[in-house]
Amino acid sequence: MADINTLAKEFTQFYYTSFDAGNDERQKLVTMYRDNSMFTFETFNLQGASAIGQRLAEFPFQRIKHDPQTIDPQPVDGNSVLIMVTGDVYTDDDPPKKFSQVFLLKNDNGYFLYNDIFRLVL
Amino acid sequence: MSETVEPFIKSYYETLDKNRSNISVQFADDAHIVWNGNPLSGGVTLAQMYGTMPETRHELGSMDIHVHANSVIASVAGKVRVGSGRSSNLFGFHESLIIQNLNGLKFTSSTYRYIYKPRETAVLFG
Repeated sequence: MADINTLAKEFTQFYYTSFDAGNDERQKLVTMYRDNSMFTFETFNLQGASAIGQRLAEFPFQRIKHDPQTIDPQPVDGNSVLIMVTGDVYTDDDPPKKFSQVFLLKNDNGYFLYNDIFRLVL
Repeated sequence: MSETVEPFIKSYYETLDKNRSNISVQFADDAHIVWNGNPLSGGVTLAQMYGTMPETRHELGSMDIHVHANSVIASVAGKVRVGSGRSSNLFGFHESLIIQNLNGLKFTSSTYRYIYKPRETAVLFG
């Protein structure tokens, strides 16, 4: 398995850059989910790449910027990586909020996002 | 398994706050733990580390659970007061946990982070 610290850094960079760049770039993230992927955004729970893709296109903000401050990767079960991210998130002209996000990347012919849980904190 | 996971997690924070030397029984022997960036192996090491810290009081804000065939991922966020009286500090915290049924529910993975208010710099421990 590739060094998980590098994997975690590269993955989170790709994820947040795509997410923050606007609707078209955000849709690129859909390739990281599969039919059995589970996604929670605040209280929304969804399953599957197409439902998730739809949700990603429906956020109410115009602009968003994530500023990840801590990235903790952990190996799980030999072929998965659990990544916990905390940091600040800015939407439109709102004051910054803290967020925490948990990703489970599973290696099945390439890594995909099995779980994605996002919460605003404080 | 999912109905029993929530109470299992809640009881963990209660034990952590009221009887913290007992937390090791809720972990698998070789559980992977990262506490504010520090890797620890197994619940006993975590209990030892907590033994050197002031008391804590956790207040759970949210708990999100994703259920897999043999394991459950939980993302817990809330507030924690560390220390007591005038020298106590209030932080946000976030913990991601993996629970498996190994002769009873056990945490096999835990990643814990304090969360400071946005743009806050140094926080002094009492």
